Amino acid sequence: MLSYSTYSEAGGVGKTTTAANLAVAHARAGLDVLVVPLDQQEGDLSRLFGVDEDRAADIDTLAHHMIRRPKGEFEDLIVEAEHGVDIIPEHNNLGDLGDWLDREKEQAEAVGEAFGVNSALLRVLKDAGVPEEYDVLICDPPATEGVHLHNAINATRSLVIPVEATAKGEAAVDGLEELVGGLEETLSVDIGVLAAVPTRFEGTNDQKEVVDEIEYPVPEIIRKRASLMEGCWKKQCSAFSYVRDHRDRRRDHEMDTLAKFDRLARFLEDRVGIAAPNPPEPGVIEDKEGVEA
Amino acid sequence: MTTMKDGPGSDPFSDDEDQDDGDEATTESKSEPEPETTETEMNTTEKYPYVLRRDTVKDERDNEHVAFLRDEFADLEQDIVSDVADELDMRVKDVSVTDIREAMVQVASENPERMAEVLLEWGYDAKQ
Repeated sequence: MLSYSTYSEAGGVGKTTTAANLAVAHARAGLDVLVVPLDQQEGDLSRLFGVDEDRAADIDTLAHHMIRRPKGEFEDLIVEAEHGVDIIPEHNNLGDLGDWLDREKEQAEAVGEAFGVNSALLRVLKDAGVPEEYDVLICDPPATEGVHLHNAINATRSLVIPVEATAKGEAAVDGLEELVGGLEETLSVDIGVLAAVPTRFEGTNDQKEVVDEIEYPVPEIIRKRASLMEGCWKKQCSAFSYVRDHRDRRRDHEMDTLAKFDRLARFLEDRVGIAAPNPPEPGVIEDKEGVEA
Repeated sequence: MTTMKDGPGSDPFSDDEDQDDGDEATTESKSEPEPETTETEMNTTEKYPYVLRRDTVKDERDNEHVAFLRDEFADLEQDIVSDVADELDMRVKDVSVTDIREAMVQVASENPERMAEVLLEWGYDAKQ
């Protein structure tokens, strides 16, 4: 199973849209994809996919499972979003996850048991048989250090790093080194970087230099596509769906962006030896009636 | 400068919590289409040493090599960087792993006998 967390130290670099569009790119090639976002907030991945209507409801949630107090079956947490992507929607109680996990740990220790607050998600996914059911697991943790990030990284161990192609972004990658180094020690795991993904790229010389300095693979550079991304948030869908359903005509540069996500997905799959069953021609989408454009 | 491994991390779902046996780690990866960076100027005058004349760490380095490594060798790279940084009295974060990988090629080219010894240690038969 290909498993990775999209992670960026800085906010606002397209981490969530990168995760969403990669999920669709993997899924539309025939892979079974599970997305587990942990970044509950106004503009979270659940909102982007339009699956966040129950975020405040009194229901069984991932957090309940992580503290071993499930109110239902794991499978029932999963919602199917567009393109067959499975997702566990973010619930508002993710904001309390740190406290919940700490309390569970206290209670466990009071009776002489161990409870790893950083491996709660991994345990839940393992017990639910996720590696057997899915080809791809994507976590989208928040940018801040804490128990959500620890759980995401512990459950995936590989990173896809969206990077703002500026000096600030480059500094963020350096800062990430230290953070992850610390996490590797804390969690006793090996964390690897599958790719860095420069986003919002405008092609200036300064940006090109920054990208050239990144010492991780940079298989694709995502250009700034403000109108497209804004449209995605408005219509609550991926870029693939937006171009297919909400654009009156196909714009070359937007098709090019879709092609990049397709190729990026193939690159990531290739790194762990997964062959998608039906990889499409990069960027080619069917139009609304199901005929290829 | 990197301290994070390039390539997948350990398998979180393997039965033993240690690294999987037989994991391949690439030191450079294949990328299908070329990344869009192109027009950084190449200063090809031989006046200054490479590290001083270049603009970026990938300047003049157009060849991507993938290396398939056993676990112990993939892990060694971090130690190599750190030992070399010590020799140079520099911080690890200031020593480029990309430079190290190229320097390894040069060192190997200067030491064919030692290279052959290593292959023999791994089981190459000199009489093949």
